[in-house]
Amino acid sequence: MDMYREDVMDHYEHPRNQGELVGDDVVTERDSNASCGDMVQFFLKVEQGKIVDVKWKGIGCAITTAAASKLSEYLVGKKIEDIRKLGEEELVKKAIGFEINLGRSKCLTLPVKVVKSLCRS
Amino acid sequence: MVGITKEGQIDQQDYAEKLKLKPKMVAIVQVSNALGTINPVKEMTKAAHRVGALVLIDGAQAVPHMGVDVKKIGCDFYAFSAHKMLGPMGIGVLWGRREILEMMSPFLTGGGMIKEVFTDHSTWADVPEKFEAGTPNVAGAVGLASAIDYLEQLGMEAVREHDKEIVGYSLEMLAQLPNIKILGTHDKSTRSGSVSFEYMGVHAHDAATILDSEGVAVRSGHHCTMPLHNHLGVVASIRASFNVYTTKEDIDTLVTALGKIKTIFGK
Repeated sequence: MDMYREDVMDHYEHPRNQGELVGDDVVTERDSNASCGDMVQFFLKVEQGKIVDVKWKGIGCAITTAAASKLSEYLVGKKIEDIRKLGEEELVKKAIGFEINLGRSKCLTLPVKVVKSLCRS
Repeated sequence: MVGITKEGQIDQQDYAEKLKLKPKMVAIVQVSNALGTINPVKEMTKAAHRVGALVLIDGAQAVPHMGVDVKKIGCDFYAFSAHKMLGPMGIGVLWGRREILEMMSPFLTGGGMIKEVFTDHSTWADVPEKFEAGTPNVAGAVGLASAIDYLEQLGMEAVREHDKEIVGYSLEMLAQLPNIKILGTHDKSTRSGSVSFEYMGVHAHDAATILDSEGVAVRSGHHCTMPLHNHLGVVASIRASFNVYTTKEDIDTLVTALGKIKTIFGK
Protein backbone atom coordinates (compact mmCIF):
# COMPACT_ATOMS: atom_id res chain seq x y z
CA MET A 1 0.00 0.00 0.00
CA ASP A 2 2.71 2.43 -1.09
CA MET A 3 0.14 5.07 -1.97
CA TYR A 4 -0.78 5.36 1.71
CA ARG A 5 2.85 5.82 2.81
CA GLU A 6 3.74 8.10 5.72
CA ASP A 7 4.20 11.43 3.93
CA VAL A 8 0.95 11.00 1.99
CA MET A 9 -0.97 10.26 5.18
CA ASP A 10 0.71 13.25 6.84
CA HIS A 11 -0.45 15.61 4.07
CA TYR A 12 -3.93 14.04 4.27
CA GLU A 13 -4.21 14.45 8.03
CA HIS A 14 -2.55 17.88 8.10
CA PRO A 15 -3.23 19.48 4.71
CA ARG A 16 -1.04 22.51 3.97
CA ASN A 17 -2.31 25.84 2.62
CA GLN A 18 -6.00 25.16 3.05
CA GLY A 19 -8.24 28.19 2.77
CA GLU A 20 -9.20 30.93 0.35
CA LEU A 21 -7.57 34.03 -1.12
CA VAL A 22 -9.29 37.19 -2.30
CA GLY A 23 -8.09 40.22 -4.20
CA ASP A 24 -7.54 41.60 -7.68
CA ASP A 25 -4.32 39.64 -8.15
CA VAL A 26 -5.94 36.33 -7.17
CA VAL A 27 -7.09 33.84 -9.78
CA THR A 28 -9.28 30.89 -8.86
CA GLU A 29 -10.81 27.84 -10.46
CA ARG A 30 -12.56 24.66 -9.36
CA ASP A 31 -13.23 21.26 -10.87
CA SER A 32 -14.74 17.98 -9.74
CA ASN A 33 -14.63 14.30 -10.49
CA ALA A 34 -18.26 13.59 -11.28
CA SER A 35 -18.21 9.89 -10.53
CA CYS A 36 -16.85 10.21 -7.00
CA GLY A 37 -17.91 13.62 -5.76
CA ASP A 38 -14.40 14.98 -5.22
CA MET A 39 -14.05 18.75 -5.66
CA VAL A 40 -10.96 20.96 -5.58
CA GLN A 41 -10.67 24.73 -5.85
CA PHE A 42 -7.32 26.53 -6.06
CA PHE A 43 -6.54 30.21 -5.40
CA LEU A 44 -3.30 31.59 -6.78
CA LYS A 45 -1.98 35.05 -5.90
CA VAL A 46 0.14 36.16 -8.82
CA GLU A 47 2.59 39.09 -8.87
CA GLN A 48 4.50 39.83 -12.07
CA GLY A 49 3.98 36.35 -13.39
CA LYS A 50 5.11 34.70 -10.16
CA ILE A 51 2.93 32.72 -7.76
CA VAL A 52 3.42 34.38 -4.37
CA ASP A 53 0.67 32.66 -2.38
CA VAL A 54 -1.48 29.55 -2.77
CA LYS A 55 -4.59 28.35 -0.99
CA TRP A 56 -6.95 25.56 -1.85
CA LYS A 57 -10.14 23.97 -0.55
CA GLY A 58 -12.09 20.90 -1.45
CA ILE A 59 -13.71 17.63 -0.58
CA GLY A 60 -11.88 14.48 -1.45
CA CYS A 61 -10.25 11.20 -0.60
CA ALA A 62 -6.84 10.91 1.05
CA ILE A 63 -5.12 10.85 -2.34
CA THR A 64 -6.80 14.01 -3.70
CA THR A 65 -6.26 15.83 -0.42
CA ALA A 66 -2.58 14.86 -0.15
CA ALA A 67 -2.00 15.67 -3.83
CA ALA A 68 -3.58 19.14 -3.50
CA SER A 69 -1.61 19.80 -0.33
CA LYS A 70 1.73 18.79 -1.87
CA LEU A 71 0.97 20.70 -5.06
CA SER A 72 0.15 23.88 -3.10
CA GLU A 73 3.55 23.73 -1.37
CA TYR A 74 5.35 23.23 -4.67
CA LEU A 75 3.63 26.13 -6.43
CA VAL A 76 4.70 28.92 -4.06
CA GLY A 77 7.47 30.95 -5.71
CA LYS A 78 7.11 29.33 -9.14
CA LYS A 79 6.57 31.29 -12.35
CA ILE A 80 3.21 30.78 -14.09
CA GLU A 81 5.11 30.43 -17.36
CA ASP A 82 7.17 27.53 -15.98
CA ILE A 83 4.08 25.68 -14.71
CA ARG A 84 2.43 26.22 -18.09
CA LYS A 85 5.38 24.55 -19.81
CA LEU A 86 5.14 21.41 -17.67
CA GLY A 87 2.97 18.56 -18.90
CA GLU A 88 0.38 17.09 -16.56
CA GLU A 89 2.49 14.00 -15.89
CA GLU A 90 5.62 16.08 -15.27
CA LEU A 91 3.78 18.26 -12.79
CA VAL A 92 2.47 15.19 -10.94
CA LYS A 93 6.02 13.82 -10.77
CA LYS A 94 7.66 17.04 -9.64
CA ALA A 95 5.03 18.46 -7.33
CA ILE A 96 3.28 15.42 -5.90
CA GLY A 97 5.88 12.73 -6.28
CA PHE A 98 3.95 9.59 -5.56
CA GLU A 99 2.42 7.03 -7.83
CA ILE A 100 -0.96 5.41 -7.83
CA ASN A 101 -2.79 2.65 -9.65
CA LEU A 102 -4.58 3.54 -12.86
CA GLY A 103 -8.03 3.25 -11.36
CA ARG A 104 -7.28 6.07 -8.93
CA SER A 105 -5.30 8.30 -11.29
CA LYS A 106 -8.13 10.86 -11.43
CA CYS A 107 -7.77 11.41 -7.68
CA LEU A 108 -4.17 12.46 -8.27
CA THR A 109 -4.71 14.54 -11.39
CA LEU A 110 -7.78 16.54 -10.26
CA PRO A 111 -5.75 19.24 -8.43
CA VAL A 112 -3.17 19.24 -11.24
CA LYS A 113 -5.86 19.78 -13.88
CA VAL A 114 -7.26 22.74 -11.92
CA VAL A 115 -3.82 24.37 -11.61
CA LYS A 116 -2.90 23.68 -15.26
CA SER A 117 -6.17 25.26 -16.37
CA LEU A 118 -5.53 28.30 -14.13
CA CYS A 119 -2.07 28.77 -15.59
CA ARG A 120 -3.40 28.55 -19.14
CA SER A 121 -5.95 31.30 -18.66
CA MET B 1 -38.74 13.15 -9.06
CA VAL B 2 -40.41 11.29 -6.21
CA GLY B 3 -38.79 11.46 -2.77
CA ILE B 4 -37.70 8.62 -0.51
CA THR B 5 -38.36 7.78 3.12
CA LYS B 6 -35.68 7.56 5.81
CA GLU B 7 -35.48 3.80 5.20
CA GLY B 8 -34.69 4.37 1.52
CA GLN B 9 -38.08 3.35 0.20
CA ILE B 10 -40.01 5.38 -2.36
CA ASP B 11 -42.27 7.79 -0.51
CA GLN B 12 -45.68 6.53 -1.67
CA GLN B 13 -47.48 9.62 -0.38
CA ASP B 14 -45.21 11.82 -2.47
CA TYR B 15 -45.73 9.46 -5.42
CA ALA B 16 -49.52 9.88 -5.14
CA GLU B 17 -49.05 13.66 -5.05
CA LYS B 18 -46.78 13.65 -8.11
CA LEU B 19 -49.28 11.52 -10.06
CA LYS B 20 -51.79 14.36 -9.62
CA LEU B 21 -49.56 16.36 -12.01
CA LYS B 22 -50.73 13.92 -14.73
CA PRO B 23 -47.36 12.79 -16.06
CA LYS B 24 -47.27 11.22 -19.54
CA MET B 25 -44.77 8.65 -18.39
CA VAL B 26 -43.53 7.28 -15.09
CA ALA B 27 -40.07 5.67 -14.77
CA ILE B 28 -39.44 3.43 -11.76
CA VAL B 29 -36.44 1.39 -10.72
CA GLN B 30 -37.60 -2.05 -9.55
CA VAL B 31 -34.51 -2.60 -7.39
CA SER B 32 -32.37 0.41 -6.53
CA ASN B 33 -28.74 0.05 -7.66
CA ALA B 34 -27.61 2.29 -4.80
CA LEU B 35 -29.78 1.21 -1.86
CA GLY B 36 -30.92 -2.24 -2.96
CA THR B 37 -34.54 -1.35 -2.15
CA ILE B 38 -37.18 -3.51 -3.85
CA ASN B 39 -39.96 -1.17 -4.93
CA PRO B 40 -43.65 -2.21 -5.22
CA VAL B 41 -43.72 -1.78 -9.00
CA LYS B 42 -47.00 -3.64 -9.57
CA GLU B 43 -48.98 -1.32 -7.31
CA MET B 44 -47.14 1.74 -8.57
CA THR B 45 -47.87 0.77 -12.18
CA LYS B 46 -51.57 0.43 -11.40
CA ALA B 47 -51.62 3.87 -9.79
CA ALA B 48 -49.81 5.43 -12.78
CA HIS B 49 -52.23 3.82 -15.24
CA ARG B 50 -55.16 5.27 -13.29
CA VAL B 51 -53.95 8.77 -14.25
CA GLY B 52 -53.25 7.73 -17.84
CA ALA B 53 -49.43 7.55 -17.65
CA LEU B 54 -47.30 4.96 -19.38
CA VAL B 55 -44.87 3.08 -17.13
CA LEU B 56 -41.22 2.24 -17.82
CA ILE B 57 -39.45 0.00 -15.34
CA ASP B 58 -35.69 -0.22 -14.97
CA GLY B 59 -35.16 -3.85 -14.05
CA ALA B 60 -31.37 -4.00 -14.40
CA GLN B 61 -30.99 -4.98 -10.74
CA ALA B 62 -34.17 -7.06 -10.52
CA VAL B 63 -33.79 -9.48 -13.44
CA PRO B 64 -30.49 -10.97 -12.16
CA HIS B 65 -31.85 -11.69 -8.68
CA MET B 66 -35.56 -12.61 -8.88
CA GLY B 67 -38.26 -13.88 -11.18
CA VAL B 68 -39.83 -11.08 -13.23
CA ASP B 69 -43.11 -11.30 -15.17
CA VAL B 70 -43.87 -8.12 -17.12
CA LYS B 71 -47.47 -9.25 -17.67
CA LYS B 72 -48.02 -9.58 -13.91
CA ILE B 73 -46.45 -6.18 -13.23
CA GLY B 74 -48.60 -4.71 -16.00
CA CYS B 75 -45.97 -2.17 -17.13
CA ASP B 76 -45.64 -0.76 -20.66
CA PHE B 77 -41.84 -0.89 -20.98
CA TYR B 78 -39.21 -2.87 -19.11
CA ALA B 79 -35.44 -2.51 -19.49
CA PHE B 80 -32.47 -4.55 -18.27
CA SER B 81 -28.76 -5.07 -19.04
CA ALA B 82 -26.86 -8.27 -19.75
CA HIS B 83 -23.75 -7.31 -17.80
CA LYS B 84 -25.58 -7.32 -14.47
CA MET B 85 -26.96 -10.82 -15.04
CA LEU B 86 -23.77 -12.76 -15.83
CA GLY B 87 -23.93 -11.79 -19.51
CA PRO B 88 -21.59 -9.72 -21.70
CA MET B 89 -21.22 -5.94 -21.70
CA GLY B 90 -22.76 -3.82 -24.45
CA ILE B 91 -26.16 -5.45 -24.79
CA GLY B 92 -29.47 -5.19 -22.99
CA VAL B 93 -33.19 -5.57 -23.47
CA LEU B 94 -35.92 -3.00 -23.82
CA TRP B 95 -39.24 -4.81 -23.77
CA GLY B 96 -42.34 -2.87 -24.81
CA ARG B 97 -45.99 -3.73 -25.21
CA ARG B 98 -46.51 -4.66 -28.88
CA GLU B 99 -49.43 -2.31 -29.49
CA ILE B 100 -47.37 0.65 -28.26
CA LEU B 101 -44.29 -0.35 -30.25
CA GLU B 102 -46.41 -0.67 -33.38
CA MET B 103 -47.59 2.92 -32.99
CA MET B 104 -44.07 4.26 -32.49
CA SER B 105 -41.73 5.55 -35.19
CA PRO B 106 -38.14 4.31 -35.36
CA PHE B 107 -35.61 6.51 -33.57
CA LEU B 108 -32.68 5.21 -35.66
CA THR B 109 -32.47 4.36 -39.32
CA GLY B 110 -30.12 1.88 -40.93
CA GLY B 111 -29.75 -1.64 -42.20
CA GLY B 112 -32.41 -4.21 -41.45
CA MET B 113 -35.18 -1.87 -40.32
CA ILE B 114 -36.95 -1.12 -43.62
CA LYS B 115 -39.63 -2.94 -45.56
CA GLU B 116 -39.44 -0.96 -48.84
CA VAL B 117 -37.40 2.08 -49.86
CA PHE B 118 -38.39 4.57 -52.56
CA THR B 119 -36.76 7.82 -53.54
CA ASP B 120 -39.41 9.85 -51.73
CA HIS B 121 -40.41 7.62 -48.82
CA SER B 122 -39.78 4.34 -47.00
CA THR B 123 -41.85 1.86 -45.08
CA TRP B 124 -40.65 0.21 -41.89
CA ALA B 125 -40.15 -3.42 -40.99
CA ASP B 126 -42.38 -5.00 -38.36
CA VAL B 127 -41.67 -4.82 -34.63
CA PRO B 128 -39.04 -5.49 -33.33
CA GLU B 129 -36.84 -5.14 -36.48
CA LYS B 130 -38.18 -1.60 -36.95
CA PHE B 131 -36.12 -0.56 -33.91
CA GLU B 132 -33.00 -2.61 -34.60
CA ALA B 133 -31.18 -0.60 -37.26
CA GLY B 134 -27.66 -1.55 -38.25
CA THR B 135 -25.45 -4.56 -37.72
CA PRO B 136 -26.78 -6.55 -34.79
CA ASN B 137 -24.58 -7.43 -31.82
CA VAL B 138 -24.91 -11.16 -32.46
CA ALA B 139 -22.13 -12.21 -30.10
CA GLY B 140 -23.73 -10.14 -27.33
CA ALA B 141 -27.16 -11.63 -27.99
CA VAL B 142 -25.80 -15.20 -27.89
CA GLY B 143 -23.97 -14.41 -24.63
CA LEU B 144 -27.11 -12.90 -23.10
CA ALA B 145 -29.19 -15.92 -24.18
CA SER B 146 -26.68 -18.21 -22.45
CA ALA B 147 -26.86 -16.12 -19.28
CA ILE B 148 -30.66 -16.34 -19.30
CA ASP B 149 -30.52 -20.12 -19.81
CA TYR B 150 -28.02 -20.44 -16.97
CA LEU B 151 -30.12 -18.41 -14.52
CA GLU B 152 -33.29 -20.27 -15.50
CA GLN B 153 -31.53 -23.55 -14.97
CA LEU B 154 -30.64 -22.43 -11.42
CA GLY B 155 -34.26 -21.36 -10.96
CA MET B 156 -35.11 -17.76 -10.12
CA GLU B 157 -36.77 -18.71 -6.84
CA ALA B 158 -33.57 -20.37 -5.68
CA VAL B 159 -31.57 -17.38 -6.92
CA ARG B 160 -33.74 -15.01 -4.86
CA GLU B 161 -33.50 -17.24 -1.76
CA HIS B 162 -29.71 -17.23 -2.02
CA ASP B 163 -29.71 -13.46 -2.58
CA LYS B 164 -31.84 -12.93 0.54
CA GLU B 165 -29.53 -15.11 2.60
CA ILE B 166 -26.40 -13.25 1.46
CA VAL B 167 -27.96 -9.80 1.82
CA GLY B 168 -29.26 -10.75 5.28
CA TYR B 169 -25.89 -12.10 6.39
CA SER B 170 -23.98 -9.05 5.16
CA LEU B 171 -26.44 -6.66 6.84
CA GLU B 172 -26.02 -8.60 10.08
CA MET B 173 -22.21 -8.69 9.88
CA LEU B 174 -21.73 -5.08 8.77
CA ALA B 175 -24.13 -3.78 11.45
CA GLN B 176 -21.72 -5.12 14.10
CA LEU B 177 -18.84 -2.93 12.90
CA PRO B 178 -18.68 0.39 14.76
CA ASN B 179 -17.32 2.46 11.84
CA ILE B 180 -19.85 1.25 9.28
CA LYS B 181 -23.08 3.03 8.46
CA ILE B 182 -25.37 1.00 6.20
CA LEU B 183 -27.43 2.97 3.67
CA GLY B 184 -31.05 1.97 3.08
CA THR B 185 -33.27 -0.52 4.82
CA HIS B 186 -31.96 -3.27 7.11
CA ASP B 187 -34.89 -5.52 6.12
CA LYS B 188 -33.61 -8.24 3.77
CA SER B 189 -37.13 -9.01 2.54
CA THR B 190 -37.33 -5.60 0.85
CA ARG B 191 -33.79 -5.35 -0.47
CA SER B 192 -31.76 -7.27 -2.98
CA GLY B 193 -28.43 -7.60 -4.71
CA SER B 194 -26.15 -5.28 -2.79
CA VAL B 195 -25.38 -3.46 0.43
CA SER B 196 -24.01 0.10 0.28
CA PHE B 197 -22.34 1.64 3.29
CA GLU B 198 -20.08 4.39 4.55
CA TYR B 199 -16.87 3.82 6.45
CA MET B 200 -17.08 6.78 8.80
CA GLY B 201 -14.10 9.13 8.53
CA VAL B 202 -12.55 7.46 5.49
CA HIS B 203 -13.41 8.39 1.89
CA ALA B 204 -15.05 5.55 -0.05
CA HIS B 205 -12.28 5.55 -2.69
CA ASP B 206 -9.58 5.09 -0.06
CA ALA B 207 -11.56 2.32 1.61
CA ALA B 208 -12.16 0.62 -1.76
CA THR B 209 -8.47 0.74 -2.68
CA ILE B 210 -7.52 -0.94 0.60
CA LEU B 211 -10.27 -3.57 0.17
CA ASP B 212 -8.96 -4.16 -3.36
CA SER B 213 -5.46 -4.79 -2.03
CA GLU B 214 -7.03 -7.43 0.25
CA GLY B 215 -8.67 -9.14 -2.73
CA VAL B 216 -12.15 -7.68 -2.26
CA ALA B 217 -13.66 -5.82 -5.23
CA VAL B 218 -16.30 -3.23 -4.36
CA ARG B 219 -17.82 -0.25 -6.13
CA SER B 220 -17.10 3.17 -4.63
CA GLY B 221 -18.43 6.61 -5.44
CA HIS B 222 -21.93 7.77 -6.29
CA HIS B 223 -23.04 4.63 -8.19
CA CYS B 224 -24.60 7.01 -10.77
CA THR B 225 -26.92 8.40 -8.08
CA MET B 226 -25.44 11.78 -7.21
CA PRO B 227 -28.79 13.41 -6.27
CA LEU B 228 -29.46 10.53 -3.86
CA HIS B 229 -26.04 10.91 -2.23
CA ASN B 230 -26.60 14.66 -1.91
CA HIS B 231 -30.01 13.98 -0.36
CA LEU B 232 -28.48 11.54 2.15
CA GLY B 233 -25.59 13.92 2.87
CA VAL B 234 -23.08 11.23 1.90
CA VAL B 235 -19.95 12.31 -0.04
CA ALA B 236 -19.46 8.85 -1.54
CA SER B 237 -20.29 5.30 -0.51
CA ILE B 238 -18.95 1.77 -0.82
CA ARG B 239 -21.13 -0.93 -2.38
CA ALA B 240 -20.65 -4.64 -1.97
CA SER B 241 -22.54 -6.31 -4.83
CA PHE B 242 -23.59 -9.94 -4.78
CA ASN B 243 -24.50 -12.61 -7.27
CA VAL B 244 -25.27 -16.31 -7.39
CA TYR B 245 -21.61 -17.19 -6.75
CA THR B 246 -21.27 -15.06 -3.58
CA THR B 247 -20.79 -17.07 -0.39
CA LYS B 248 -20.97 -16.22 3.31
CA GLU B 249 -17.19 -16.74 3.39
CA ASP B 250 -16.89 -13.89 0.86
CA ILE B 251 -18.73 -11.63 3.31
CA ASP B 252 -16.40 -12.77 6.11
CA THR B 253 -13.45 -11.86 3.85
CA LEU B 254 -14.99 -8.40 3.32
CA VAL B 255 -15.39 -7.91 7.07
CA THR B 256 -11.77 -8.96 7.73
CA ALA B 257 -10.55 -6.68 4.92
CA LEU B 258 -12.47 -3.74 6.44
CA GLY B 259 -10.30 -4.20 9.52
CA LYS B 260 -7.24 -3.35 7.42
CA ILE B 261 -8.60 0.18 6.88
CA LYS B 262 -8.24 0.82 10.60
CA THR B 263 -4.59 -0.18 10.55
CA ILE B 264 -3.85 2.34 7.78
CA PHE B 265 -6.14 5.22 8.72
CA GLY B 266 -6.23 4.63 12.47
CA LYS B 267 -10.01 5.06 12.43
